[in-house]
Amino acid sequence: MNYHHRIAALAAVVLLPFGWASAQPPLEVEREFNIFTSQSAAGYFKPLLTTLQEGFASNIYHTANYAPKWSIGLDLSSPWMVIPESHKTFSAQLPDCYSDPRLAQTADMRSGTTTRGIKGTVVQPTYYGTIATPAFSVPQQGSGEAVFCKTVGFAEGHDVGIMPGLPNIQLIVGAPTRTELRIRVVPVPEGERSILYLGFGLAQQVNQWMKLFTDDPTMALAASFSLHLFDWSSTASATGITAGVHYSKSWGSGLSVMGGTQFETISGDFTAVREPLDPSDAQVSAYEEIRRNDPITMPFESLNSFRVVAGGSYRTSVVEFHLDAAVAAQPVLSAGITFWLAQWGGETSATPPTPSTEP
Amino acid sequence: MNKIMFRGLLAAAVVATTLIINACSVVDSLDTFTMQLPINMEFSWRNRQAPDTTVDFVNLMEYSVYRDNMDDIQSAKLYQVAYWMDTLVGNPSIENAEFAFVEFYIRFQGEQQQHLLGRYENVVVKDYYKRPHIITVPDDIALLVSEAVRTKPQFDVIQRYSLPKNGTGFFPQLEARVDLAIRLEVKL
Repeated sequence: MNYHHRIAALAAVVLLPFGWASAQPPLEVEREFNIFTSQSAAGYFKPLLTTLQEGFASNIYHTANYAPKWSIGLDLSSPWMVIPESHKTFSAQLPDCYSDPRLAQTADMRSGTTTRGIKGTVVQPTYYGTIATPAFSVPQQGSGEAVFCKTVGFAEGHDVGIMPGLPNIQLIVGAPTRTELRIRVVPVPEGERSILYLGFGLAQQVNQWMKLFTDDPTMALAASFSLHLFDWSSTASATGITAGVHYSKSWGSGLSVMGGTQFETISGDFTAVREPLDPSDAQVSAYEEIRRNDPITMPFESLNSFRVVAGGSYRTSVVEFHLDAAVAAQPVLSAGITFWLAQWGGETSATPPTPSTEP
Repeated sequence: MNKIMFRGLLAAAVVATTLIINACSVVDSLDTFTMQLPINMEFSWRNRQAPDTTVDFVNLMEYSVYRDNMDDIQSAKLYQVAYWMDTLVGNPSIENAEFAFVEFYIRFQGEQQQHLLGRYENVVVKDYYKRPHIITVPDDIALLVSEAVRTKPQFDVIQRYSLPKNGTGFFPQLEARVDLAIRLEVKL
């Protein structure tokens, strides 16, 4: 088997679970979630998707100083996102008929104050928010479109201040070119469907090519790129990428600090069908989309596109502890541990990769 | 290759376990979903003399959200009530009618006790004509009836009118409506 065959075989192994996952039936939304329109689902869940994306984009690197050797490590990290107040509410679209006072007289009450004539959008909690405010509506006519212009309720939030992302369990492969590859594979069986997350992070030390820090081998500059593939069979799929640069300085004691910046994005979509309506149900939605039983479709997007990260790590023997914090749309706190399994080749071969001292 | 150092592996396992346990404790708190269910009620009078009461029967089992999740409902709290007048024929007329108060009570099936849901005072009917007036159910009352709503899906809502401030108070026809917003917390 030549090099190209090996690459093809590897690609098949990686992509096969995606094909299998996509063959599953789409998610069916149960009736209790029939309070969601596509617009309100997008607003309600977008901060949660942001948490997911920021978790994907965390722990791509912990240093910029990569030893010129082959190495293998296993990293277990847990990113936690701090949820800002602005991610706890969104503008929820009201039923169209609320805009016409000949069809409906509307009002809501917040903190004891009644607001009349609500239309367009109103503030409601996201997944991370608190109590929702029902929008009351009185149909003004006894027939036609007006009869559907009734009161609507909304989904409430969970009042979350800090939220863990998907744990980053990643295999690290270092190469003598001062390159590091991180690979994540997270399959999550979930009933008839399954969730699969694949992540690939690539970091390359570059200062040696730019003749930077030639007199101080404890400092290093590196560039990083990562690709993230997420698939929830026939329901959601997304592709995320990150790109950035980072710097680190290390000491012989095993301590090192790092800082970096990173652009990041994710795009994809979510689609789910609704459970068939119950004709005997006393609750008939004011939203035409829900009455038509249209599928829920929404983009898989993040509110974050950039982060500045700083952190440190401490290595003793084959174990390296790391901790970092990032300024982002949802500030990130991340901690983890890398277990360096092996190192060989390169300029020396007997010891596992210590913070590099080679220029 | 260097051999694996198990002391390091143990330390890694401890840190990883701590992180995962912390993450799980947060995720556990997310295993419920709370939504608001609006219940529409209609009250109708025919040839009645105020002060008087009228009753509407509510059966939450007619709502699939409640029926399909009955075993998983963790709490059912009454949250807000909106009241409006749809029709009033009698003495006084819509233009002139004003009630000192209109009260709403909830009474669960098989019980005699009535729990006050809310009270509207100085109800000028023309202001309430096809316009919702909202009150928030006090927390103590919401909590008091929460368990009952969760386990007893059938209840009466009783509407009590005072004598109007003017006129005879005889109404051949009076129709009013109430929307009751219930916060349903369902275990996922």
